[in-house]
Amino acid sequence: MAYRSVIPFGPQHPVLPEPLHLDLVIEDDRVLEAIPQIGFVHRGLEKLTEKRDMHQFGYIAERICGICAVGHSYGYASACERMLGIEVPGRVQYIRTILHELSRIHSHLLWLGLLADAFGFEALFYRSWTLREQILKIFESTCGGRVILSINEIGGLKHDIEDSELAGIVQTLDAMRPDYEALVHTFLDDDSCGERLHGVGVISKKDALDLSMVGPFGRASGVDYDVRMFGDGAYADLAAFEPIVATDGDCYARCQVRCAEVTQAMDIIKELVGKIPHDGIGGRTKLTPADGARGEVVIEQPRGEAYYYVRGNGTKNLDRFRVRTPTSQNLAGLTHALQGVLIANVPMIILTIDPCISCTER
Amino acid sequence: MQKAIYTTVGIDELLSHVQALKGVGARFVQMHAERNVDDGSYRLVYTFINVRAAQEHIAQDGSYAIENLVVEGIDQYQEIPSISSYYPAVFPFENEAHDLFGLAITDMQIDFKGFFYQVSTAEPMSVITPEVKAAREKAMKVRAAAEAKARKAAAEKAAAAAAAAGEGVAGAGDAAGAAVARPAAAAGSDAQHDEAAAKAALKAAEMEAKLAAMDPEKAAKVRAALAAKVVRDKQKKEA
Repeated sequence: MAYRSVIPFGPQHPVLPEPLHLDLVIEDDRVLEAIPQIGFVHRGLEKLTEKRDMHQFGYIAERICGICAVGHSYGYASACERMLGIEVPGRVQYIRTILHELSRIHSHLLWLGLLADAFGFEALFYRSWTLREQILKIFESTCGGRVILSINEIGGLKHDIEDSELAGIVQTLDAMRPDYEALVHTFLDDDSCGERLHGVGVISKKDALDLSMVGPFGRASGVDYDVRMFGDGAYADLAAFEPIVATDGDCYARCQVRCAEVTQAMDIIKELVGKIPHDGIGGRTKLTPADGARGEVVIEQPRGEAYYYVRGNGTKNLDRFRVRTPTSQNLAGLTHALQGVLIANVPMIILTIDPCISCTER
Repeated sequence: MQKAIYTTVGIDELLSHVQALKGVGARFVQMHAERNVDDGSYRLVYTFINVRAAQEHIAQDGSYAIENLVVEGIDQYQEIPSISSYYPAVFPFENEAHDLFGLAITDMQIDFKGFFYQVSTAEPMSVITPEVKAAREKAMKVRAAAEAKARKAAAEKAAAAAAAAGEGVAGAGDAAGAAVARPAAAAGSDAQHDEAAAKAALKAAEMEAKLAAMDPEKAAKVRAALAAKVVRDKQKKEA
């Protein structure tokens, strides 16, 4: 009978930029069970609603994570607007969606770079992050920040993005496409990538549904679910939207889905820029939430469905703010994907769920 | 367009509702706990989306629903059954509710037994700080004052309507001449009586509004003083 032991993996590990701990129960070099542990850097941001009023809290919500920052401020502002019964102008919805899709491109390019780094393809890592840099420059030129944009507020936007700037974004994205296609070609068609990704960490569609998996992690296993297909906000005006789904459920499928989602995001931005209305950018509301008023939204963050909930208590401070990030939802899927795999593939599988512990430790 | 449905269920009905949602293919979105500042009880909110039903509704009227099961009035030491046998993805949230709120959730599939989060303060989200309590009490007083003001406005409106009706009746009595002088005088007397009653009601509403805005202890003292004054006035009249 093989010897069974437990390997502690993380919270400090070269593949993990953030603290996640796994107890890997192994037999020989195969993982039998993986138990995740988080909570090393929990910040208690949800409790901060007691100290910061609902407008100030928008800045904190944006700082939940440094990659999906725009999405968090968008989700928080939308939930508050729903609680207060505010309808924002169409231009606000369009600009929020355009920035959110840009954030998706930059998040996926960042992930592709980390994936290349994890399987030792350094040149591919450099190329991915070089392309990502162009998105960060768009953020900097339109909003003044590379990560924290602080453009959203409850009731509208702090400032407009001119039509000429929006046209410039489309031009930049169009210019990026040939380089991006070459990058995708390497990720998906090169043997050195494919051999590390094919057939690794497979999750079936049934398991993905049972485990309520979200985002590219779930869609790579055939789960046909993307919040954008519900057509909220500016997504309602798209000519068509179909979630990008793969069926193999392995690390390669997760890479395939993210690669295609970058192109899809570029197409969405181009379409929205062409249709953007000119009905103002709203502004900070002066309303105070009623006692017991609630607002909740789900949005599709780069890593998957994120949930935002706010509850008022008749004061300027919220009674409760709740954000459920995609990584917390995918932890059950991660433990499942690690069962029965070789120890050598553990870092790759962890990376393919694109874990964001910063989001989870809000 | 997203809509939110909140269904309040009892703890003993929770699992049957979750089972029904699982049966119709609803996907689990999240679970979270809340603390009620007023009575110190806890509330649990379980969120689900039935994707297939949502797509059908969007095709019909462009809207879809996020479904929430809400368990209200939970005592901290009351046992809450885990839903992880139906939705394993709930385990981080149930452990979180245990570690941050101190809620007793039973039969979790993955139970960290209080070690999911490394917290420096035990059950930090269950703490109601004096600042929060004071802000909440202030908001309640403001709300009570606003409601009293609205009541006062309504009473004033009613009094004005009653006075106008009284004047109308009295005017009609004068025009009808001496033959009907007595009934007209009676109508005038009724109008005066109505006006006095309306004034008294208005005064009472004003006092009630003031009392609602006061500190509860002070309000109780004022009420006792007013009651004593009524008794004194009655005794004077009798004497």
